[in-house]
Amino acid sequence: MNDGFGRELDYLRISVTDRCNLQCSYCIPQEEVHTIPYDEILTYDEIVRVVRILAKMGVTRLRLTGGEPLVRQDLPLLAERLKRIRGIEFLGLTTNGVLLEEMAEALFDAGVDGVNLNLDTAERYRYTQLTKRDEWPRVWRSIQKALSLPFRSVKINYVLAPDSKVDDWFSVVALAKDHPLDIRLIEWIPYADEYVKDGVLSDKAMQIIRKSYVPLTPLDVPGSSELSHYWKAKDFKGRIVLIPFTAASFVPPATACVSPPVDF
Amino acid sequence: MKLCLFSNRGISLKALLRGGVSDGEFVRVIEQAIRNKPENHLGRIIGTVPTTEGKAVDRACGMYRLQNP
Repeated sequence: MNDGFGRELDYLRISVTDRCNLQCSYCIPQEEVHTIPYDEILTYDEIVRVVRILAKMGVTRLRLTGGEPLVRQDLPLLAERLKRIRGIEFLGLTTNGVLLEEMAEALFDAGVDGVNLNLDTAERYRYTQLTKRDEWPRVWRSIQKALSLPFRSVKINYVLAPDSKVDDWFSVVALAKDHPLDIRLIEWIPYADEYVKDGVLSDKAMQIIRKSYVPLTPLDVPGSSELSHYWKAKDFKGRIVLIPFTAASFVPPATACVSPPVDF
Repeated sequence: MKLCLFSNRGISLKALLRGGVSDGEFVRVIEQAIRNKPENHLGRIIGTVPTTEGKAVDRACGMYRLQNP
């Protein structure tokens, strides 16, 4: 299935709910939150029908997102139905992790292949400050639970948003020291037409991390997307992955981050 | 269904599904929408990057998003 520019499209992200169990300042407005009435949200039967049709058109990879997908009731039942559809080769889940510890086994048994956890920090005080919920201990247990199961991948997503703090980057990167996690530093992209200001370019973030936190060396990961640049720190069990989006930060992996470190 | 990860524009599948659309008609609507998928996002994101196959793809727009509603 190709679009008008000849691009082959095989990936579908499914937002199963607009609701969330956190109140991140950049996402939830201060005033009253308006959620979509339940009867206006696609039912599981409707989602399955859409995916059956799109799978015949060439979609092979799915990702369940939200809102926070785990707040939708019986999500493992949907996962199981989607994974059984002919042609679906990969089913991923992106979650904030608050409910993952208690649901991880059911999701794995349902056929979820990989889990991505969105984090803005890995420090409890900052987590509570950013999300308005003191849920870091549960999220940490969820990460450990996910790692204990044979998922094909467990990744941490950290978005380099305009107001992100260097100490928060470091706290998230530190998770890769003792755990086999891919820490993905993803360049921020303004949603729809809501552009406000630039985020942090991934190569700049990498320069700061290399200079002020831990030395990193590039990794050649066969079969990985050319959009993902892998790095490794000595004695780290996990990897750091740069996901650049803007032209200014895109350089071939072999030449990335050779400019002098920036000061901050 | 949104045609770009970072766009609000798209088509309403709910109306089709609840209006009793056939699978064949559904496919035609999807194909039409895909033909109108934007080339890139806000004009700021890099337009293309070379792939190992020598093709060019837009990195931010190479995916769909099925968003409720």
